[in-house]
Amino acid sequence: MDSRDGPDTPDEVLVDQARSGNEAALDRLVSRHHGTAYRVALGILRDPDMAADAAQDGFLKAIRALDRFRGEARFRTWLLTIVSNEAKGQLRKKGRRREAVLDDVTLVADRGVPVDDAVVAVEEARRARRLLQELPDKQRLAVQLRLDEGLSFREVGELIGSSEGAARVNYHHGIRRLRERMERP
Amino acid sequence: MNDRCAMTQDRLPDLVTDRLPVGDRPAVQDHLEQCAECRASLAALRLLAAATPVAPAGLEHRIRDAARLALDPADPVGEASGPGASPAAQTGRGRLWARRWVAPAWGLAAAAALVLLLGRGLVSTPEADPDLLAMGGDEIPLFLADDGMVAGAPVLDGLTDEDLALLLEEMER
Repeated sequence: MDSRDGPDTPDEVLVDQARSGNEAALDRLVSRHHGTAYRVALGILRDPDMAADAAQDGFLKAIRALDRFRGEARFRTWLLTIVSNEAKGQLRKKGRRREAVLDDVTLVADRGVPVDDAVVAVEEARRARRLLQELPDKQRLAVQLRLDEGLSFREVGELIGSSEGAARVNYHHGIRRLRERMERP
Repeated sequence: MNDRCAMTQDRLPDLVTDRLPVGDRPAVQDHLEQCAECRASLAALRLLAAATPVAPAGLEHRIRDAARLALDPADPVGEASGPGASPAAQTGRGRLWARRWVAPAWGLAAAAALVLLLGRGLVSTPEADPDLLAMGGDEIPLFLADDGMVAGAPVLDGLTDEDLALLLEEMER
């Protein structure tokens, strides 16, 4: 078997195959990135239903535009930019986003996935996420994108509309302010 | 926070999620042992990681079905997007392809309107028509000039009697 058809096949190869109508390649792109697309949309919209719609609509826009993907950016960054724009568009249409967050969002902790031995309690983890939501948008998104998606600061900057340096600063400020809030009773 | 702290904290998300290359771990771990502030940041990130939102069940299939339809050029507005189609199909290719087909139709309509406007302009421009100027509004009403001329219609004035007779003869055939 060609190693490029293995589980580690780069996105760009899958994109080429999907362009040729290969549904299996398309399925793998969806399988790889739907969660990330959802979380990026959720980070902007803070509403799970709207986030799911934005993730789907953004994905479809990307699929339709596959012929225009030239590979200057990584596929993931390109896709997430489209999803992010879709979510921002929905936000503009719907007006203010909901303030209530996380109550109806499924979290890793809810599924019993062991993340790390040091995790103390599900409730404490949920509280941390809740406090994260209170941070300014760019700080919150910088922390989320860096932690949840493993994006580089350059990629984070592209998504939040900042330079790489500014994305790094937002991330550090976000962590510091989150810790301050967590230390409060 | 010094440079060492900044470099360490840059990498903490990768450490928490096991994405940090093995070769980079000793340096990060060494610093963590000496720095309470970075350990506190690590603890906060670990808590966040434990509560990472996950996509709702079914979203992957929903996107996959719609994406397959979007990729497949067959059946542009057919049954896949019809009343009996799945929600994914209705929000997927059916809608996408419907847009593709509708867009040219709107383009044709716009072109036809433009031709009419230009045609009207050829026989009666606002500058040349005081009545139109007197109407004052920004929108110029679309109507035919008194002589019924429209763009694209044959101009008969310049024909000789012989040519006109020939034309009438051909129209009667």
